[in-house]
Amino acid sequence: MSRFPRAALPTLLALALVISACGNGDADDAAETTAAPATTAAPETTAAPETTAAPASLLGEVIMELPTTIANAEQAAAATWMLWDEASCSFVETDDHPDFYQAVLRKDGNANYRFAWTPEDNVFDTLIVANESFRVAAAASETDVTEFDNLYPSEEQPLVVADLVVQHDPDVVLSMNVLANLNPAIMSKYKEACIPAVAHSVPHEGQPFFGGGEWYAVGRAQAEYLIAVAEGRGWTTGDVDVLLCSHSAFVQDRTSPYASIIGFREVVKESFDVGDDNIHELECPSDIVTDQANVADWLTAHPDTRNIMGFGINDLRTLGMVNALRESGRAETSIAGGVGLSQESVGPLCASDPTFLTSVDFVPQLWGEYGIAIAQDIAEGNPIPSEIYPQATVVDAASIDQAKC
Amino acid sequence: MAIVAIGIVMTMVSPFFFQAGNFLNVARAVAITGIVAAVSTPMLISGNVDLSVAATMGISGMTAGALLVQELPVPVAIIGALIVGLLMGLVNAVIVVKFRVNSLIATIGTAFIARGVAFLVNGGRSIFIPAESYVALGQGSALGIPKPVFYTVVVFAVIGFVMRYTKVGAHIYAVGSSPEAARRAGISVPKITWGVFLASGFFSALAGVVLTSQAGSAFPYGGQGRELEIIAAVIVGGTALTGGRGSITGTILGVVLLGIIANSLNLMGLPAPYQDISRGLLLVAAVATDQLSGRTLGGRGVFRGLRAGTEEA
Repeated sequence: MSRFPRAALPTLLALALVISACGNGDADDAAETTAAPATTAAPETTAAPETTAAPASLLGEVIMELPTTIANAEQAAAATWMLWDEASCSFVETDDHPDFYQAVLRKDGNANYRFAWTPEDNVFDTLIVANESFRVAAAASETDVTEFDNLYPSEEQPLVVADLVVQHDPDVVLSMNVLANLNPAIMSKYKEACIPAVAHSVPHEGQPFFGGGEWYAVGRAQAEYLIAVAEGRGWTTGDVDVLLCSHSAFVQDRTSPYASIIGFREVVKESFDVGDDNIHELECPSDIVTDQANVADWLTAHPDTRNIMGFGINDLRTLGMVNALRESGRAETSIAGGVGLSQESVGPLCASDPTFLTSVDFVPQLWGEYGIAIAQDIAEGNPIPSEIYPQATVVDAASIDQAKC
Repeated sequence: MAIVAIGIVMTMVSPFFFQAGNFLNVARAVAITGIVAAVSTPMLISGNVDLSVAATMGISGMTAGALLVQELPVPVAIIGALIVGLLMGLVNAVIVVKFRVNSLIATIGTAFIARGVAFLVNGGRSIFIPAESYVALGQGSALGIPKPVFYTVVVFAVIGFVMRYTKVGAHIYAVGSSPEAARRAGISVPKITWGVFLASGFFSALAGVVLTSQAGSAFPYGGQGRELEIIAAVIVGGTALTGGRGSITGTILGVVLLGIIANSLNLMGLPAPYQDISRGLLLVAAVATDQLSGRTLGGRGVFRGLRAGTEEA
């Protein structure tokens, strides 16, 4: 896997484009090719459903088959499917799709596809793992994948990166950008350059979406987990205050990681009957000292709270919150969950911390495999679901992979 | 005066402000900033600036974390982190003294380098610190006071003593006021510059150790963005950006003031942007006052020699 800037190779670029165009195939070619690589049964399926014949493929052998949330015919039928249309330079919806979707990473073979991946950054633990996953998957599949760092929280760099990607002219770009307000500008650049773009982390209308995590569902899952713990401890609705560690940089709707906050808030209101007055959202800029200080100040201003249920939009924020709870002597009457299963949660979970109880594994270690497989499908002209999620799992001290400890 | 005014207003606004527990919150929140602000005071007084302090915190914290993961004893990890800090100070001093690069430019450069190296320490990933005795250094309280506060107080006391009661302190003021006059008076300007940069590296590394022990994790981006807050605290405390003037007492007040502002706005439930606005207004007011008192930013200190290198050497 290479990184930008790289030497311009116009001849190879032209060759790659020609091969890529051939790789998109047409109906006649499809009849001459073998069917799509055999896939194993996805989770929740009893048998692998039949798939529609795939267009011509220049890709090589199968390396990895990855489960997604489109695991059976019912889910497939409920989903919207998309296909890249070169003529209109856009994705179009299609009814001609298989009965389930499984991302299958294949060797590049003779396809010579070139992909671009634009991660949020190379700083956040989850992204470090994810970026490494892209490198590993690119090497394993012998695929040319170039990484362009969006340098979160920069609001300029994602636009600069989009221009760089356009110049780079890949066959598909996997565009990770958590600043939702920038997505229209970014995607319009790709559309203008006729580059198929997969939105990552924040969906964008008209584009397929590869969600590292389904933020809304993640927030709901964490709330359900913590409510179960709270009920197990005999907490009642009137005893509980909910602390949410978020950040104003996120667009506050369901198109950004903030959706996890929305999901969490909804569940504690619906299932635990916590009122709005007892749900408190704090500014946590993901600088652990500031996060801890802000939570400590809130705790000072709310001395009468009895039990606290905390949730941070990522593990780092949750760790800051837990540190503040501990320092204020409230750790015994508090429970908290995070997101990402990064180092900040692995340590507490491995140590069976009584307060930091849970995180969510987005399997970032496989984002590269997923991403490249999805990009291969698009480049090959295969239909893909409009939303693709790896299966995220809630992890606690009992279920954490001990190898991580 | 500002602290007293805010204190009076906040006591009326929030019943939780004027409480011992809340003051301990403030103290804990500013402890790390305080350590670095303390050592940044003689740095600015000497006519230099060190913008690599935050990166030094990051790289030293990562060093400690990496050594602890290797199950080395806690003192070894701390010493290792402090040595890294001293090396940072040494590199900065060499660039400024030997190569006559303006300290502003030199430390921006070394900050980038240090931050990059910090990311290489553990492949960019943070390190969960397994050593409980190390974490215990930064978490919890002693005699009812958060432990980091003790370290901050000691650092302020040491640097304050040096600045007020020793010949070195007087020389730092002299060099910051006029390097040429100091040189004629027999003061070794390069030695003073070496000293302030080594001290800056050492105490920034100490702040990195406190940060990682308080957090229980080491982050390659630890302290990131904190350098401006630190300089703001020092300047608000009356230290001249142009060098030659300032005091540790003023810096303590500057640190406390910024901490109380953040704390007050948190207690009132106001969002973070208002904190930024308040900090910004305060900083501008302080610098404007400095300007009106007759010192110009282009005249001496940090901005001296931006075009032609420093004159210290």
